[in-house]
Amino acid sequence: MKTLSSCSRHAPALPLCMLALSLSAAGCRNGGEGDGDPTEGGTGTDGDTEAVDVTGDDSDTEGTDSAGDAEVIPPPGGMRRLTPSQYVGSVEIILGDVAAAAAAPPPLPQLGHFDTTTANNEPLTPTDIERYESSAMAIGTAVMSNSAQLNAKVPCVAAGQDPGCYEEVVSVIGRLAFRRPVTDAERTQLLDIANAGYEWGGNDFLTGIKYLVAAILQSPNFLYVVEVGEPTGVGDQRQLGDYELASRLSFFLLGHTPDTALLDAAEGGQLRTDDQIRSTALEMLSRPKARERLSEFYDELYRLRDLANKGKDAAMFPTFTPELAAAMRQETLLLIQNVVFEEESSFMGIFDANYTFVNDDLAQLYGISPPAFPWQLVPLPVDQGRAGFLTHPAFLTVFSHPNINSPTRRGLFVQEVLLCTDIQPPPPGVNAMPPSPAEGQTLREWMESQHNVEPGCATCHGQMDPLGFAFERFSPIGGFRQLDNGQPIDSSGDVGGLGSFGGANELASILRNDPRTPNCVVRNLYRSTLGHDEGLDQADGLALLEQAFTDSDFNYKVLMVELTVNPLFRLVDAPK
Amino acid sequence: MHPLRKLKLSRRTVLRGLAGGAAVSVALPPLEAMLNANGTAYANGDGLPLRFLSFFWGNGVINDRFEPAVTGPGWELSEQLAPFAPVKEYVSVLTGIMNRCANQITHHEGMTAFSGYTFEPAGGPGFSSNYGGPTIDQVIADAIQARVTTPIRSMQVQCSKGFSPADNGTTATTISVRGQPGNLTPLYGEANPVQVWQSIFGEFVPQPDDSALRLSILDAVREDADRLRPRLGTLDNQRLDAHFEGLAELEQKISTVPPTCDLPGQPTHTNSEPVNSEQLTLTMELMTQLIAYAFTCDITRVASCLFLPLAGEATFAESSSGSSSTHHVLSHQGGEDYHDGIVYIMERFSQMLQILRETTDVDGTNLLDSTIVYGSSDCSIGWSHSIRRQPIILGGTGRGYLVHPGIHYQAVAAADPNAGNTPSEGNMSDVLLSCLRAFDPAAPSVGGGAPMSTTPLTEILA
Repeated sequence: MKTLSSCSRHAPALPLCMLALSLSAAGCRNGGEGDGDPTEGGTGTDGDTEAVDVTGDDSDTEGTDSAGDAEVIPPPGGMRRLTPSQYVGSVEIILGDVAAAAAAPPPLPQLGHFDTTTANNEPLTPTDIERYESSAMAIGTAVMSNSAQLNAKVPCVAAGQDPGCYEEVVSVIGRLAFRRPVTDAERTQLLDIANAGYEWGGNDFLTGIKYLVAAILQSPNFLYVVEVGEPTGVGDQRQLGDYELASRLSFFLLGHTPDTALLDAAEGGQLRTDDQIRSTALEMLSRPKARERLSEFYDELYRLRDLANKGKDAAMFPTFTPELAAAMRQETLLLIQNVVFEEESSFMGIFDANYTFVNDDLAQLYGISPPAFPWQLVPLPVDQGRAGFLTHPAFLTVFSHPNINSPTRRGLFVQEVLLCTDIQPPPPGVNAMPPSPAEGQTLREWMESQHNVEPGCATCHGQMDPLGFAFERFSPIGGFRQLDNGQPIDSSGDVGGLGSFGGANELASILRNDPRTPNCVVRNLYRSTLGHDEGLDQADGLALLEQAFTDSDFNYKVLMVELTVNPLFRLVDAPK
Repeated sequence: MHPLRKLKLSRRTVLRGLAGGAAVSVALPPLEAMLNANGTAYANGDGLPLRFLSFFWGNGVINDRFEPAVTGPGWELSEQLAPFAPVKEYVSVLTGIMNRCANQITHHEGMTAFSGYTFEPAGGPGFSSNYGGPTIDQVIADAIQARVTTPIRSMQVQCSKGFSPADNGTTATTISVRGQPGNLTPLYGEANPVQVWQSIFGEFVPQPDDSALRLSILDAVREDADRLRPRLGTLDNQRLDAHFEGLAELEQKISTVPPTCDLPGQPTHTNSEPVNSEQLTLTMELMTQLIAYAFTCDITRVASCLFLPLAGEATFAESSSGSSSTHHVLSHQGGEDYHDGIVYIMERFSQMLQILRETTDVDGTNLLDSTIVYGSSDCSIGWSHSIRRQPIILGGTGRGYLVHPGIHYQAVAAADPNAGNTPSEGNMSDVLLSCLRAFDPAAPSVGGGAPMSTTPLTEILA
């Protein structure tokens, strides 16, 4: 109800709002209708338990035999476009790394939500179609000029000149690319193209291979992952088929198409029980690709990838080079990998870790001695009030202006990305101004003078700015500083629903211990994995995950594995 | 003496930053064969090509330093319009016009100047919205394609990559959206000149003709998609419709006769610098050269150029101020560095017009004679985000369609054009309708809802 009432507030745009609910419900959740600021801190906690409350009502005991039991409405089925990295990663699995090096898929537009949401909902443009074609042709050419890797998968290719081998290629390569066996109609069609290429090339076997590969890689069966399942008889609910589940598992955990072994497991009906799925997921998580995949997710979620294009005031920050920016990104990713894969410790540790990983450039930025070797694990300079990744230069750099900090952006990140609290977009007519403190005025003083005066500003900024002030001891590139504009810095705060803190390190402890934080970790993983922003319909399924995450003392691998057996993962609703 | 003798497709305007070699030549049908005896139209009866180019820059202007003091044909360049001196006769400036967008979230409402629709609020963080309807370049592309098919329907380029971190949705991301309200496909600008070259000219590099094979693959793609359709819902079927549109355009390109001109060499500049050290002068020059080539070769007749994104956060390292703040930050401060940034943008816009004027068309005229250029921003004044008196700059004559020499049209005078309550009148979409009617004289309207226009602005017509 809450969601709906918040939506209907945008009365003129009701149809759009309904749409937004399924696409990206950010603006529609947690709507603070007229209820104003005082309750907002409170709703933080309450709002968050609401998912749990719903489960409580249903009094599900434990999430056993997950796919059947829980009362969930899964996200809609349908087709999702491969993201650029899924495309390249899949070409590598299908045809080898030489072919993958020639892959040049079109980029995804950056529309302000998860890439997977874009992939799930946005149409392809004519430019995209063209680039998929040229990419497919380039890959075909690469395979033609270096067929050794294709030989490894389809031995008859080595023999060289027998068009009869095309059928074998269609079976093996087509199955990998389409993530299921090729149908007869598709086989006929592909063989026609291969044979036409053979003839056009003057009876050249490998020319036929080139066009065959190009055809497979342009097929919607490759470019779109189709997940529509089979009806279960419960509402519009549908259960993913074996092959569809194999695809979902592989793209989620490894970022690429299922390999032959996984397709064989699907074909053999070995992805049916929770235990089968769990052990498959665990095995996948032991592979190097799983680390790359996790890094890619946090690159996106924490906007670390923005560092590559980030500009800073060169006069103020002459040390901010592309190399330093890349090192910042690496540091935060190493911390996450260490917690998840090396230590398998509580994921909450990333919020208040007292150690980090540095190279020479970062050591210099921190003002500590250079490491014995690059990416050595070193103590974080806690005397600077640092703790966890929010005091890493990466976060501090991404969420600031080129020449001045942005407590608003830093605070917004904490609320939206770490606590999953939605902040309403600025109201119409707001005059968003980059900060411009007067001589001798701290940024905090300036912002308080702007945002606290107007009640219309204070309502939302009161939820963001004070969190951002906690990081005022760190510059727009994350260096430590004692003064702001020549004045002492006040990094303390008291934020409704969170409590009071003296600075970034104390805020880190608060965040680590706030129950919303792990629940938000779960939600972000859900949103990104399924390209879907959860609504109340998904609350039961998410509650299972939140419980599993908590019970494991926030073991992130457990969370990922439990997601794979969750009904939200194994079921879909009617196709969108 | 025949006008065609003048055709020299820019052997002299060799692209800066070219790959070493000479231009790629393709086998050309004789140009004369394509024209009628007078050289005034294609022999097949179709008129000579009329082109449209839209240009966008983020963060507005400073009205009292932008708006010319005198209206009508006797206007003089203002401080911020001074860069247009070399092409002034081809420029009209429109001020005091009302942007009738019915909603406001800062910057986004300014984009109504390109569509004639109010944006639709979108879910998502920060300031987020999507276009409410197609943009003018795409409506014009539809009108052109109804009569004649060019190898490429339209091209979209972008110069600065300095997207605002606070703004999201298609309104904040592009100035080209095709389709109909409710079923729109955004087309995003390509910021890498090498990639632009590849997608415009790469198809025409001589190579063994495998077009039949490639077309048969596209047929297979369609059949695969048709087999998927019954299993999918409405949204995904719409997405497959968009996929089919893309396939149709690619087919058109593959089947097309090679253009009647030399191909330009491929640029080497990739425009991949971070947003505080972009080489925007060079990028803009290359992008315009590529557009000019595509126009003269009649590969396409519609282009859009997004110079600086909405609320754009790029540093203009090459502006005269040399400021290391981003143009968006400067726009809020409103000082001389902001002014210098605007002048830098106007220099780039003028540079674009100059390159078009220096490019000789197939009939001996220049590209400004055959093109309508439409430019505007996302607001009128950067620091207030006002859309009152949002500026429009028109370039070219569109084969005698627009008034020449250009004028300063002012919808309503203002004592202080920077003031918060400064007056504005009329409807910006009237200008869009005027542009559209050059391509489709029967077009009844542009846009929808409050900003819709059914009344073209006649003062700017010849």
